[in-house]
Amino acid sequence: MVNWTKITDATRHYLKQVFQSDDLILSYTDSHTPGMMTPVVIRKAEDIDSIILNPICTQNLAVYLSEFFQNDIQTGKPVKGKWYITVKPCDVRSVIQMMADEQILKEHIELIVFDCDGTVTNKNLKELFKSEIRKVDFNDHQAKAETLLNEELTADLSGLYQVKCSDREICSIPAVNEFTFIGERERFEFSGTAKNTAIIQDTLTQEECFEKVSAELSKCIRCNACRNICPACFCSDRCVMDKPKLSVPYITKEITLDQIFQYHLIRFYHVAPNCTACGECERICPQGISLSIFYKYLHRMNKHLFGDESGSSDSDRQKLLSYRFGEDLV
Amino acid sequence: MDTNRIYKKDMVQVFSALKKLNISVIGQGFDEKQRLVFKKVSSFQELALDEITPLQPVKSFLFPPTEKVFSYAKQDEKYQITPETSPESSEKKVLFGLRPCDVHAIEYLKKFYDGHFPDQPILRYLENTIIIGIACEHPSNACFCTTMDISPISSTGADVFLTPTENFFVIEFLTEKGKSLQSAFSEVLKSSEATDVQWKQNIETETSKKLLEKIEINSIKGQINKAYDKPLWKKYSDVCVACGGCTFDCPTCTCFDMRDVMESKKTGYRYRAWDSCSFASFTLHASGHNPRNTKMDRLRQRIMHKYHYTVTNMQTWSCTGCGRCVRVCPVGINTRSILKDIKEALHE
Amino acid sequence: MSNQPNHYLPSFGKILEINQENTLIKSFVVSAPDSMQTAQVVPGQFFQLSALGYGEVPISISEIDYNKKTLLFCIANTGAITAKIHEMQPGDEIGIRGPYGNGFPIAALKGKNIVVVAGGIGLVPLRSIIHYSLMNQGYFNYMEVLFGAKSTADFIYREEIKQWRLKPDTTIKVTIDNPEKDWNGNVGFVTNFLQDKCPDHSEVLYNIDPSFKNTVVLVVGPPVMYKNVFKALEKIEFPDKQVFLSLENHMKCGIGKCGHCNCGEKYVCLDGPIFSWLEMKSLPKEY
Ligand code: SF4
Ligand code: SF4
Ligand code: SF4
Ligand code: SF4
Ligand code: FES
Repeated sequence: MVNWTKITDATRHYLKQVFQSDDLILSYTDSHTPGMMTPVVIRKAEDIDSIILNPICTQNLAVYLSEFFQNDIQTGKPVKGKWYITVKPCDVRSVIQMMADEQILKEHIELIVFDCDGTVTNKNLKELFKSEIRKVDFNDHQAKAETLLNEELTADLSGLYQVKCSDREICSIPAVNEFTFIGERERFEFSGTAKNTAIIQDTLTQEECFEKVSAELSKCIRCNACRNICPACFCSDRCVMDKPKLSVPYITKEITLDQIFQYHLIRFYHVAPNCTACGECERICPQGISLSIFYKYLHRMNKHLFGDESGSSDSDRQKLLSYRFGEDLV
Repeated sequence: MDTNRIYKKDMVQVFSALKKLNISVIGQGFDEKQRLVFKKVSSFQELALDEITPLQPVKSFLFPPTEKVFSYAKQDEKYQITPETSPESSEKKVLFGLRPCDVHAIEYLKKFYDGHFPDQPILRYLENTIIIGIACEHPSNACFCTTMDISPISSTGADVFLTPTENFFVIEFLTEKGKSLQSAFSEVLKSSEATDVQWKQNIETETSKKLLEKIEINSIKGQINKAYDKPLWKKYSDVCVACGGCTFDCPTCTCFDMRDVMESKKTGYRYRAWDSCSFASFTLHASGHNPRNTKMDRLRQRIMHKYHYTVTNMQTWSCTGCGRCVRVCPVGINTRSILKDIKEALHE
Repeated sequence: MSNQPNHYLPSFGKILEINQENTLIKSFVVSAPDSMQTAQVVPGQFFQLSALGYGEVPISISEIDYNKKTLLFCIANTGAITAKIHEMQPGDEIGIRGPYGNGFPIAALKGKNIVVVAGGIGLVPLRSIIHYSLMNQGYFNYMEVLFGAKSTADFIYREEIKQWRLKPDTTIKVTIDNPEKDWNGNVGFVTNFLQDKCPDHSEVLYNIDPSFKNTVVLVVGPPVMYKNVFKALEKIEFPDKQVFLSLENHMKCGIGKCGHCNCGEKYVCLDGPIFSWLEMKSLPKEY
């Protein structure tokens, strides 16, 4: 059971107590897009009341951390205050992994983990209500929506949570870090069930696998959204795929199947050691491509081959990675 | 005006008439994974007209995400250039059931790619395209066409315009191109009744009830650049991840990159591919200097371009209020809210 | 519509001559493609040059020989494409599209005193206007060239500068940023010439036309230099509509379609690259 009003209030209350000037809060607020929340960066205590937490807080806020830190390195301005980041249990892994990768400095970050029973995307909501909605409110597993014609609809969310939400490996807080927990119960008993999607089985032959993957990837328009939303893709503007000076382009900007493959292969090899399977890329792909095909596989292989599990420790280096904090070129 | 009825049960004949004329049909429907997309369809049943507009705009059929510009080969120290004309560009096609916002978007593309140096490859696509518009009954929860001065029943820019009713469409042939289809459809065209003018009005009334409230922005038309230095941008750019989704899925975004690929020592080609002002690499100089160095600069460029620069240069917004940027944004940045904020900032 | 020419296809010119100007810059004399109307090329315009297989770069024109139908380009080796062009040899073909852009407002400059302010390789596009004055003796009333380079190693056009000095009604002033052994000339930024307190200050601004009634300033250099030049000119209340400069935004198409060069309401490739200071004031600082 999750009482969202209580969680939101408790979070605001806690933050008001600890917040000092120079501190910064990363959280969620209303986006005015029905079924969607928007991340918010809070720099003033009076803005704390804009924080809202609910099951559509889908975004993984960890993605902003490395960018902020890189900015600080570039401008030579050391981080002054503390950074509070409100995270779901699944997102904790991303933050921890970034700490292990020395992308961010532990000392500056306080994790505020809020209880969660699963998140739903706006796509899920659309399926649930079978109509465009103007507004939606949540109470535990119940969603109450208003259609465009102002009719009221209610529905039960529990069958619609994102796939990752039922995956215990992802949806539990790794027992390594200090954090502040906001919630009423012991973690962790997941009470909802999530929808399943097809995942490539290892039993496929190479050809079958290639066909399946090609069919998915041929839809890609290379908008870069999956890369930019990814907390494990932290090269930001220095990404090899943006390199304007590359003289012999082994990767071009063409949106053709071979280059799409190139793009995704580079990307997934780069994030193989530190992808925590947060599922953001799949959620946000405008083309609806099942990117979980890749990351689930890599996540598994990383564990299988190297015994590493990304997002489970804030200090152990992943065997596939060798970046050091403050290094200029990734 | 030429107004007729065309019954839905007769659409089979319409499709076979188009097929006879070698005209392919593109419209909204579901792909094999039940995703709503614009695609080539071969029958009326394949269309899903009772859905909202697909997220990916129809522009990819007119301005493909990637296209070769030319290929080259070097022979005896001389270059041979072969322009690449994709067969699709000269293929005759009908865009079937495009709603007013998307029709306006194509009008804009036509105007933009023409001009002092016409973009011949794209204009070829546009020339060979017939637009069959439809009055919009199914807005999404992100649509704001009326804010951009487009009515959900506007037929401006369409060659043929349909008004849907339960069993038939009221059909109007509006342009020469549109009229060229009239004879092909003649067998199934039924005469309309005097009351048929009413249908369109009904749709307007019904759709207006579903649409989000119109923001009156005509009062700030031509002034929006005055919001350039206002603080409102930071709130949005702080959380923008610069993914480019809002521009790739925007039906009026026109930007592209042009690059070369060397296939062998003597052969290769030049291609163009969609590009976006949200990317840092878009304006980056070879020297490392970047005129729009921050995400804020880039987010503001998108908004300024759509709501101010094209107003000055082409006397029109380059936004149709289709809501795609709102629907696609993974972090919930709402263009309509930005407009609201701009208006507020200017009235302060 | 589509029976119009495809503006994205390059034509080809032949490289006739190559000179090494300094370690970074080479100049290329190129015969104009037959299809090109060279008579219409104006100083300040630019061309899109191709190293096929690598890409295209916008390069401003340095000299136009209207009789021989040749074009001179001075190209700095700053990236993959220009590096490739630097490898080319006389006799090679080079892809070329253009001319593009507005160019200097030549007609309006007739009879004026021209003050050319160039920083580093900014002299390259300005060479076209200096050359124009040499070829059209008496077209301008007076020409003063103020050139600043980082160091003597960054000098370009040494020979030409010697030639320019010999012409009547022409002054050339040169400065380098920091003192160097064997250099007796001016030291400091090129903007110093614009200031009264500078012992070697501008001839035109302080002696020939101190009321600025008949003077035009043309500036090309890196973005930071523009800021300093504007500051200096502001101080002496030089009228903003008599100052012109060239912007070098990132460009791809050159014809107002790709959007890369867009700065405010302007497309640098179409409405520029030459803008007046007055116009610049209404543009966002995105250059
Ligand atoms: S988000 Fe989707 S469409 Fe965009 S680059 Fe990634 S896979 Fe391709
Ligand atoms: S400048 Fe940006 S907003 Fe404008 S057309 Fe290009 S990508 Fe779209
Ligand atoms: S800016 Fe947004 S609402 Fe406007 S046309 Fe583009 S995608 Fe549609
Ligand atoms: S879709 Fe949203 S996050 Fe992506 S570039 Fe546009 S505004 Fe930024
Ligand atoms: S260079 Fe393409 S629009 Fe100017």
